[in-house]
Amino acid sequence: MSKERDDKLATSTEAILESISDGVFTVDADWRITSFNRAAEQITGTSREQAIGQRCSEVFRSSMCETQCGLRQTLQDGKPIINRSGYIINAAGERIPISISTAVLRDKDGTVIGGAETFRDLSEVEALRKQLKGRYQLGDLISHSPAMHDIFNLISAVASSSDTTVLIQGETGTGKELAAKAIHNLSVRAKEPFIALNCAALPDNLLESELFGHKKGAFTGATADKPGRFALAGRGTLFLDEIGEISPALQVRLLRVLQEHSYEPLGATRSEPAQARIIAATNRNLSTMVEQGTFRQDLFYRIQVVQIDIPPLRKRIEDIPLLTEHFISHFNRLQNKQITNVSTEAMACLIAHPWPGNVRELENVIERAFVVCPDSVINVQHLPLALQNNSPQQQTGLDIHSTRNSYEKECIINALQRNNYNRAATARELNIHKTTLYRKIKTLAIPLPQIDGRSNH
Amino acid sequence: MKAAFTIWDGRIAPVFDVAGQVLLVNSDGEEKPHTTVKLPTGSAFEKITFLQQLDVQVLICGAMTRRTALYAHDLDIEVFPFIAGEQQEIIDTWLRQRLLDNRFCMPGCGRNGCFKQHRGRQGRRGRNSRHRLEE
Repeated sequence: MSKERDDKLATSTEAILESISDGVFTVDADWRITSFNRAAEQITGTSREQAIGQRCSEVFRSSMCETQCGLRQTLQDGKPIINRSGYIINAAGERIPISISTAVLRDKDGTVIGGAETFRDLSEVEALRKQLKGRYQLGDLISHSPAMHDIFNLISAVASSSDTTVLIQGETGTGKELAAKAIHNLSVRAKEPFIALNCAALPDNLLESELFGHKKGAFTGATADKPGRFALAGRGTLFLDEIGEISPALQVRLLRVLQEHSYEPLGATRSEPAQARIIAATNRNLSTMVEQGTFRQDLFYRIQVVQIDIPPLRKRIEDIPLLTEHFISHFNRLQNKQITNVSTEAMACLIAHPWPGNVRELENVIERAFVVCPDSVINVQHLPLALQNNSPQQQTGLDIHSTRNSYEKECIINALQRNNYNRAATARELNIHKTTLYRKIKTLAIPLPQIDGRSNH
Repeated sequence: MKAAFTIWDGRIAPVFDVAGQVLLVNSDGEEKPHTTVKLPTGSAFEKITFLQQLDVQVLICGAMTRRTALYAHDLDIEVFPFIAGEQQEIIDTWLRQRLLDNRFCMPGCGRNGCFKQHRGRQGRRGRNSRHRLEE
């Protein structure tokens, strides 16, 4: 009687497993697959006959198998894992985004006999999410902002001309080095080295030796030849950060290198060819420095063949939610945590902050929140005190609606200015209907100039 | 010829994109010790570029996306993806020029699976010649 009941139960469990759209497989104590349902066959592209008896890592082929195996963790600590994200590579060589959940399998006596893993194909969800976000990405730079989109286009164009010297200007933490790396990686020099040097980090005489290298005996302590950054960069890219900090003497030497495409290591008698592309960056305004006489005009024009100005984070606040989400997923992967999002109140604090340290400061704030947040949602109390003071609760008379309205108002004003007050173009940029834009302009009392921008387009 | 085998747990690592290390094997006839090298933790493309800088000509690995395989192809690295099996057995078989049979294919990647590669042609460029990856 009991056997009959067991058989019926097994049959109905099998029928349920076959009918669901989530992939399910079970493994024994040796990590060999013991069952593999229909959805698992479809998602992985591997048939049940091929899968059963094989090692799960070689059938499932997931990004988590090697270091973050959910089943291994569950079998070790007995705790199930719910919705861990990753991807698998199917038999066609396509990357399929998935989320997995795991559980321990026990026999009638409660003895552990293996594990069960369910997985969901997130391809469609991922495609929809990307479509909704409409975000731009170039290398490690991501943004929603149309201003950044223009910069991404400029970076792509600059990258295709492999010798042009580039000057990247932007406040500290805006991602100047990431932009330089993107140029390098998109150019034909990508296979060559990318060498970065912070010019403000070293005193002048050391910087000279660091840049050009030195020969044995060039100065006290030079016991051997040392190649400089120009030599290390070879035919690659040399990124000179904080170029505005170099001394007038070094400015002259650098100018000579840029003009003659050669340099002399300290103590050398012969010139070496300088074949690297130079990308310089600064958080200072070089043209003002030229006017003040602290930066050589001829060097300025040599390095500013193409200038890229990266806007500070406070001028693209529409990027704050996107970057926050990006850093959350980055630190989830890095620290093996499961933080899902930021509460509305905490997001209001992030948006209200002026971000003098820009994207780097935002990254640090999220990293700090990961340390102090024990839950899955980052709340106001997980932010630094300076940011908590921006909390709507701290500001009398400002509730979440007022905060949202003020954020919306700023976004619309910025977009209108960018589009020269052309309402149709602004609505397109903001991805809202023109009538919605008119309604918002009216309700948020956004002042408009006499012109409507159409005559200029 | 220098070949890299992505390894994990004594076997070929299941996924190239997240593989932590490779075993470098020289097949130029001289007896040389195999070297284990850590792979960079970045993207699959960074790993491929890194292998190219090590002068690797042949890569034997587990699952790999089509895009990564094409990138490796562009950098003139011959790739044998979707390989599964004991590390030593795979190396020995490759050294004997007999890697390309279905015995070492990952489950679901038989004769016609996984990029529809033309497996089984060896020796065009010496050992284990390049197999073309179809778009």
